[in-house]
Amino acid sequence: MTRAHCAVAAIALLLGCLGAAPARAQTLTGTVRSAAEGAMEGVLVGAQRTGSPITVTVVSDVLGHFRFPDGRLPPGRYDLRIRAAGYDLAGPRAVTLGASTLDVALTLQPTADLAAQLTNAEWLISMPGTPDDKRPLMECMSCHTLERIARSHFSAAAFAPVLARMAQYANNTIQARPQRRVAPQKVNDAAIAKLAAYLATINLSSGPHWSYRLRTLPRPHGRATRVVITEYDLPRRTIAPHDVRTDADGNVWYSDFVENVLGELDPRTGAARDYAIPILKPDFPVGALDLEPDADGNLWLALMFQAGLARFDMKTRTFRLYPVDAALNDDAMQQSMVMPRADNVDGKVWTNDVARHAIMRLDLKTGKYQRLDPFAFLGGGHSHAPYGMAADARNDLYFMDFGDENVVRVDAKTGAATIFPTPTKNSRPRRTMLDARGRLWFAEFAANKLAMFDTANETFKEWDAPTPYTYPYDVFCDKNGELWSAGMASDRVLRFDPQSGRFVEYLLPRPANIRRVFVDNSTTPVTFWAGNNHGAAIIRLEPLD
Amino acid sequence: MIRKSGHRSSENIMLHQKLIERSRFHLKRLRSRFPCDRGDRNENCTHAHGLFHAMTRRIGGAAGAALFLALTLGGLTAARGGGQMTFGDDTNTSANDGPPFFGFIRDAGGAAVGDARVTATVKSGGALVTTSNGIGVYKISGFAKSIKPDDIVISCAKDGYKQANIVRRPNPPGDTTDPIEVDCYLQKD
Repeated sequence: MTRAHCAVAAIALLLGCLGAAPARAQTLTGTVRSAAEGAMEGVLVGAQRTGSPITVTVVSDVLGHFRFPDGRLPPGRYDLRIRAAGYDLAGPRAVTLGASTLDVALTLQPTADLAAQLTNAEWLISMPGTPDDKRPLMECMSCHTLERIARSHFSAAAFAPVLARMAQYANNTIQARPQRRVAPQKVNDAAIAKLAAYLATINLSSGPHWSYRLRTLPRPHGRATRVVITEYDLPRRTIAPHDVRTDADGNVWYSDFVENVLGELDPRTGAARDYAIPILKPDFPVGALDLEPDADGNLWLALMFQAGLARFDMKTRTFRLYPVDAALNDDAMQQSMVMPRADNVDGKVWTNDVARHAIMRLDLKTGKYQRLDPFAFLGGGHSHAPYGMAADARNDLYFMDFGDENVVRVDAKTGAATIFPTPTKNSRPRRTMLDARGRLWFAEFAANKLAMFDTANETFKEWDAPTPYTYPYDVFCDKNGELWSAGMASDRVLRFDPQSGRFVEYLLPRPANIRRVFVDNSTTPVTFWAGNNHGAAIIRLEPLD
Repeated sequence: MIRKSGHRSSENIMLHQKLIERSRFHLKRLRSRFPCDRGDRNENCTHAHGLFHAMTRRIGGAAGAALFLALTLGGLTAARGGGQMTFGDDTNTSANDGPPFFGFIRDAGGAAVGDARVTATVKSGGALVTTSNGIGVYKISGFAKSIKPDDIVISCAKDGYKQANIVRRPNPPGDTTDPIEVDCYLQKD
C-alpha cells in the first residue's frame, strides 16, 4: 500500500467513525480538582434538580472527569454536592442545565470538620481499643451513628444511666422517631459499666479533641468509579425504609421500620405512596421489618411490636392482618421476620417470636400460631435469636441464628431442627436468601463475612469483607452468580464474584444505614436496590459493567 | 473389616512419649491461664482436666494425648482460621449443659478422615451437625443436661464413603460430666 493509499484509508476511517457516532443528548460533565491532589479520582458528584426528590450521582475517573448519563438530567437548575473524605465543595454549588451539554470544573477544599464525614466503619477503625471493647458498638448503629457517641461529653459514670435508658427503646427506633418498649428490657449492669468505661475513653469527656487520629478509607478507584447512583428522597423524615424490593412493573415496595405503612415508589417520577397498616396494639411501637412475597406474589410484612403478620393483596391493594393469638400475645411479643414463600405447600407461614428466641408458624386456615423452640435440646451456654428466614420447595424453614453462629433447618412436617454451626465462631448470621440451586447466601454480621451454605451437601463457604467493620447485614446472589451486600457501617455497597474472589466496593453519596438488599435481575447489568434506613431515601445503584 | 491402628514401633513409642509430654505442657499452660487446684470447680479447670484424663484413660496415653492436643490447640486454631469445630465454645459451657461428644473419623485402614460431616441426632427430635478437622477429630457440645447422653446418636458421612461402624466408649458408671468418645468409621463406596 502506497503512502497515498494509507492517507485515503485513514481519512475514510476517520470520516466513517465520525459518521457512525450517535448524536449525544445533553448532559452534565466536568472535572474535579483540588489544590492538594490536582485531578481527583473517586469523588462522588451528585446533582439534584430544584424541587425534585431525585438525586443522581456519578464518580470521577482517574483523570478527574465525570459524566452523567445522557438524558438522565432534564433541563433545570441543579444543586451540586460531592463526597470525598477530607474535602468540601468550594464551587460551583449549583448549575443551570439547558438544552446542550454543560461542562463544569469543580474545585474542592480541605474540610474543616473531618469528623462529620466519617462513616461508622471509619470511627471504629480510628478508635483505640480491643475488638471486645468495640464489639458492643455494632448494636448502637441500629438507631444512630457512632459520631453521636464520639461527640458526647459523658464520663463513664454519666454514660451508664444513658445506656440503661437506651436499652428501653424499641429496636425500631431512629433519631427522627424514638419509640419506647412497653415491656421493660432487662439490662446487665456489669456489661453496661464496662461499655460506659470504654465509651468515656473515645468521646470528648477528657477534652475538646479526640485522643486518637481520625482515619478514613480510600476513595473509590478503577471499577468502583463506574457506577450511577440514584437516591429518591421519601416524603417524610420519619420514613425508615427497611426492606426494599421491586415488582414486575418496576415499582419499588418498602417496609417502614418506624411507621405503620407499606410504601410504594415510582422510580420514573420519584412519587411515593403510603398504604396504612391498621394498628393492632395501640400505644405499642409501630413499624414493620421483613417484607417478603408469597407464592402468589402478594407481600407479607412482619409487624414487630404490633405482634403479628400482614398480607397485602397486590390486586386489591388491601391488607389482611394475622394478629398473634391472645394467649401468646404479651407486652414483649415481637415478629421481625416472615417467610411465606412456600405457603401454597401446606398453608403455613413461618415467623419468629423475638422475645422468646423461638420460631412460630401461622396456619392460614385457622389464623392460629404454633410456637416451636428449635433450641430445646441445647444447654444454656449460648443465647440464640432466630432471624433471617428462607423456605424451600417443601416449606422446610432455614433460619439464621443471629444471637449465635448457626444456620438452622426446621422440618415442616416434624418440626425437628437441625443445627449447623458456621465455620467462624460468634458469626451472628443475619439475613439470607435461598437460590434456585439450594444455596443459602447470608451475611455473617459480627464476623464481617459473606457466606454460603449448600443445603444439598451441607457445607459452608465464607469470604472476608474487604473493609474491616463493614458488618454486612444481608447478601443477594444475582443472575450472574455475583453477590451484593451492604450494611449499617461503611456506606459502601459490596459486589463480590465468588469465582474470581474479586470485590468491588461502591461508596454511597450520603451516610447510609442499609438493611435488606435487593437486586433486580431484569436489567443488564443488574440493578441494586436498598433503603437508607436513617436517611429516608431509596437507593438505586446501577453498575456500568 | 475395620482395623484399629495399634502397631507400635520404637519410633512410634517415641512419638507417643512426645505427644504425652506435649499435651502435659499444654495442660500446664492452660492451668497457668486458668489457675486450678485439685477439686477446683472453675469450668475451665474441670473441662481441661476432664478432657485430658478422659482421653488418656480411655484411649491410651499417646492417642488420648494426641486427641487432647487436637481438640485444644488444633481446635482453637481451626476456629480462628475458619475451621468447622465451632459449636459449644468451652468457655460458654454452662451448668445446664450435658457432656460434650468427641472422637475420630477414620477410614477402613485406620487413617484419619478430615472434612467428614458428623451428626449428633437427639432421639426425641433435633440434631447438631459439625465437620471433622484435618486430622479427623470432631467435637460437639452444648446439649441440654436434660438430654440423656444415650439418647444422642452419632453418625458420620462423606461423599464417596459410607458409614461402616460406630464405636462408642462408655464412661464409668455415674460419670455424667466427662466427654463421651464416639469414633466413626467410614468405608469407600
